[in-house]
Amino acid sequence: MSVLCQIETWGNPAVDVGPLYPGVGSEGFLVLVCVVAWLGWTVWQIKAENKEYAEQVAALRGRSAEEVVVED
Amino acid sequence: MDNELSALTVIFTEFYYWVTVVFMFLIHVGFCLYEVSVSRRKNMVHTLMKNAMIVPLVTVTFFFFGWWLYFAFQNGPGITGGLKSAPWSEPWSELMGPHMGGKPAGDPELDTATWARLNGVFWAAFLLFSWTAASVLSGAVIERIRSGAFWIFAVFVGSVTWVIDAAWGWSDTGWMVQKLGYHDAYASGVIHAVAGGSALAILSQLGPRVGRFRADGTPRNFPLQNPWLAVIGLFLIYAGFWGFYAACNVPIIDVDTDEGRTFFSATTIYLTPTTLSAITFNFLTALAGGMLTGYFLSKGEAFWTFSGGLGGIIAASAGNDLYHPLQAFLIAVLGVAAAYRLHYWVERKFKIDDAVVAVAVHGYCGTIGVIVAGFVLWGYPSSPDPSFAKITPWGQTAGAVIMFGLLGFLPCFILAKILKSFGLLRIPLEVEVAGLDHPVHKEEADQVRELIAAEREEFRAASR
Repeated sequence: MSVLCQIETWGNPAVDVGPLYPGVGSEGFLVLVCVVAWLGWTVWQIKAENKEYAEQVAALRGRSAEEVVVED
Repeated sequence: MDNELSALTVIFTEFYYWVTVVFMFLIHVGFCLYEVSVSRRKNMVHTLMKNAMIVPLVTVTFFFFGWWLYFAFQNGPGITGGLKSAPWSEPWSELMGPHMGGKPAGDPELDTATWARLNGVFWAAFLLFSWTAASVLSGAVIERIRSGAFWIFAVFVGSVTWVIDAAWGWSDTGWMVQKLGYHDAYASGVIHAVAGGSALAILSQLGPRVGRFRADGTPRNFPLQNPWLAVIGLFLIYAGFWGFYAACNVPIIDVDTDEGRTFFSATTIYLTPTTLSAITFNFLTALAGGMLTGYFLSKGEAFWTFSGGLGGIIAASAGNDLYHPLQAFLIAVLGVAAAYRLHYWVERKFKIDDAVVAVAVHGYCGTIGVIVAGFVLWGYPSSPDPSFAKITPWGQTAGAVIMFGLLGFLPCFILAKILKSFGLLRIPLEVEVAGLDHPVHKEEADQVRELIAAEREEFRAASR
């Protein structure tokens, strides 16, 4: 049996069975990891977007308006 | 869960909210279609992704703190009490996951039997409201906002500001309900006015799209890229709104306040009785009033007719648990007519470029709906608790100001100013005129040009 395993029997769910997921007690750690992942993703995304625009601006600058603005 | 009747009631409630969530997914599909249909081809993919990423970002943040804010902030805090304890909504709670109801070791007093069954579906129903609030902003700001900036606003409105206003004015013990008699059964104010006010604040700092206004200040029209997609999108939003309305109710609960007597009914979020029939009558007549008004004012334009239908529902939503269907109809007419006029006045006066008229449909219709409910429902009890204030015009007007202004416009205005000062709000001019999907769009345009040239050449050859 895994150390994360939570359930030994389904016999009397009203009394015996609370959380169904493995690793009960690790919730705080999971929250911390996921909050860091969300914040990290946000910082990465903003940096990536800034870089993408900087590259596009460099590529577009100096070109004629007719070249840049394509008929939609 | 130890006898068939109580088990049926709980599992029916669980299933009921689950179904509302499935319906409400359609709102998001509709918003995506609608937004893309309004966007020009050169911005389509970015426009779609900007809205679509609301789903993961608001979902995780609503898990982290949004759900807890809803319960914890019902007293203000500091107005009718302090922070409320809500252990089932803390992200590290055992009840924020699959659970059968057995008592947690650390908290034997906690009502695990109910929350184990209902926490996930309640959370999801509120989450879908959060997506809606964020989506309202999304359409207004297309074709010039940075995606990263927009997603900060989406999380801020979807997982913070609208949730606080729901705690205050859209819960059975919220301080606005207690002190102001605030009544907003289907969220005219708590979703739509807040989101509309937020959108207006962002637009005021973002500025109009390049080319939107002529030198004399009159607006140029950006034709819909795909009118069919716009109409299908709005129809899907209508369909999703059925789920939204149902999710605003508690499906079955004892509403008799006398000990020893029972009377089971559906209720609003305030635990005041209503019926699914009531809201079905009023949803449809409000839709009818809004569509007829939108058609009349725009002389049959599809965009305003369908937006008018949505605006009509939103205008009547605050009191749609109690209105007569024809009252709902007339309130929808009034709300859409006022919002239509206000939209064009604000657009010209302040050069606000709202690409999908979101501020009008959600913000103005929602705000008007909250205020009108104060007059039409004047004197109705706002809660089964007789100590709570009754519904009044001044309570509703104060509520409308809080929703649109204090929790809608003001926080997003400040945030937009901060992002603007760091150069993180608007895309560069070069990227805007070339298109956010440039160079993919440029490549496609070249391919189309080449194809047309080839077709012309073959036609000429065949005609010789």
